[in-house]
Amino acid sequence: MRLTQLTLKNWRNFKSVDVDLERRMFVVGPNASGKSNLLDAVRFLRDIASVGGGFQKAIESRGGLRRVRCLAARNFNRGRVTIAVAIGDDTNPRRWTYELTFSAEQRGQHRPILISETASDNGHKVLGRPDDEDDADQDRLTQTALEQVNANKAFREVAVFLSSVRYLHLVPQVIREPDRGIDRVDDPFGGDFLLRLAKTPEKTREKRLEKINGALRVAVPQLDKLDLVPDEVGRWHLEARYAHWRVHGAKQDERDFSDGTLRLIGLLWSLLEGGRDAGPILLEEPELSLHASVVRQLPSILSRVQRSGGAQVLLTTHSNDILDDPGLGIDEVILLEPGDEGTTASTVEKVDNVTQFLEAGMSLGEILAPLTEPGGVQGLPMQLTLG
Amino acid sequence: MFVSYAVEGATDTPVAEKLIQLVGGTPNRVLVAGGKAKLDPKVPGLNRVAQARPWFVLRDLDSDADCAPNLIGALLAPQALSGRMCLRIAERATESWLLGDATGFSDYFRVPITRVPDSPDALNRPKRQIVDLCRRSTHSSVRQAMVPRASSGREVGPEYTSWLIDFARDCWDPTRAANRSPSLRRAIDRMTALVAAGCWA
Repeated sequence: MRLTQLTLKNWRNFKSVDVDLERRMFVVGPNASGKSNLLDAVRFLRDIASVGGGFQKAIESRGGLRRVRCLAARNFNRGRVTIAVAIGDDTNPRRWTYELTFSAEQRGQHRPILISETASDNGHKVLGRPDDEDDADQDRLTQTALEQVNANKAFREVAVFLSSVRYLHLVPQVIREPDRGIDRVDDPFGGDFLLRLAKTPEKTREKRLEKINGALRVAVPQLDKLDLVPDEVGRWHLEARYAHWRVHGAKQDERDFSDGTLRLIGLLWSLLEGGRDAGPILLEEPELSLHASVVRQLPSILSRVQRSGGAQVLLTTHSNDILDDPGLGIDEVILLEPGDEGTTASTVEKVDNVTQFLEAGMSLGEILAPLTEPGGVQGLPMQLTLG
Repeated sequence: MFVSYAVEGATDTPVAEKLIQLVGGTPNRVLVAGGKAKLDPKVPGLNRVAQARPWFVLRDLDSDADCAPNLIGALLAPQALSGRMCLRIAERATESWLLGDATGFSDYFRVPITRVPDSPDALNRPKRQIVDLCRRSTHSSVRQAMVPRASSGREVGPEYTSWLIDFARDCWDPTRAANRSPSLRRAIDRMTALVAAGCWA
């Protein structure tokens, strides 16, 4: 299963978005156009559905309703925020739908409350709120059915699916930190990355590391024999043999690995993690610290992993090395364009003349460059002087 | 004998390397231009460098000229071809050369050998031909990797480049391919002649 559609109204800097989602999605746009905010809509649902999460906490952790509501909202959608998803597969893209609309209480503490919450299973409505009980007890509107096991029974699959979404923005420095993993769980920056590896059953872990080793042999040929080993105080380390002038090479661990190597290992691990039926992965700029020639392989890597049942991937990118891939579909790229009324988002198939440009031999990177570059960027160096 | 080479794109790299190796050379990759528009302006400069050292430059003919010699003339003008330069134009494209090895192609992509065209140089759109052949593959992974989804708006599938490179590197036999592709045959003959004449040494 995957997310097949995402609809937003008044979410952060998006006034209105409605996009279909394929198994690989590449979100592009100028700086500060809201690429991360688009992914955050999916994270938001994940945070609601997760154990220990919930609607109030998801809003609070984002700095309150004021921060998630679009500045351009005004009366559109009556000023309310709506997030809706469809979940399914190619044969049945709308197997499940889930929609949540929320706002602030008109009186009292102005708590975030849901205005409506609906879910459908194969087109049959299985949840419709507010219901009679909500009308009788307004406090109920501070919690979604999605976050409650006794209320989401009819669409439990949706709750489980959304809670399995993973968000990843690996920061090599965080992975290397000596106190990593002590109190972090599910840390998008990689604080618990080594612990996650350690918690994976040994055979599965070895199998995955072997696959990663195969990929590393191409990208970082001097590294070999990647393994996870504990040190004398029981802390886990990623270890590899580093080939150099000594016949047997020297051992290195993650503290010696380059940023690019660590990010590549983390990326590949996450793609392999979960195996079949794993929830979607949200990635922030996976191209960071990687050599362009390695970045160019990412679209193929995703496709290959997904063919064997790997998870859906939604990623943000600034990389033309990714966009220039000739097999990248125009329905797999979401273009964000900031405007006076918030940012608009649509798949590239809706960009004017895109098919003609492709036929003329242009790459998607070339076609999108004028739409993602800030106007007048060439003048940027002239703006900077000391004193 | 080191032979430096420049090509249009990633899929041309293993082709250039195999050809250089075939005539006893050691390939020295210098430029993967990222499209002919980026390769063409560099050809005159490379040609000058090739007065002193062996060079191999590979470019697709596509529909850019009636025939290869005209295109070579246009690319080099006003220079003449340097003594150690081997500038080859693949008719219609490197994909034609790859299709020339029908046995290898049929084995690798699991398509019936009878479907692989006899005269790949004559194909107007060899890339499309490769994709269409892969549509008939008995292997679902080949179809998924090589054939685009209808809604993708693209000519090739999501893993086209990486599979074609893998085929060219591991399976493609240029000698076998030259039997069906006269354009490839002429390229190999020219390279062999450069070695024999001592220009590539």
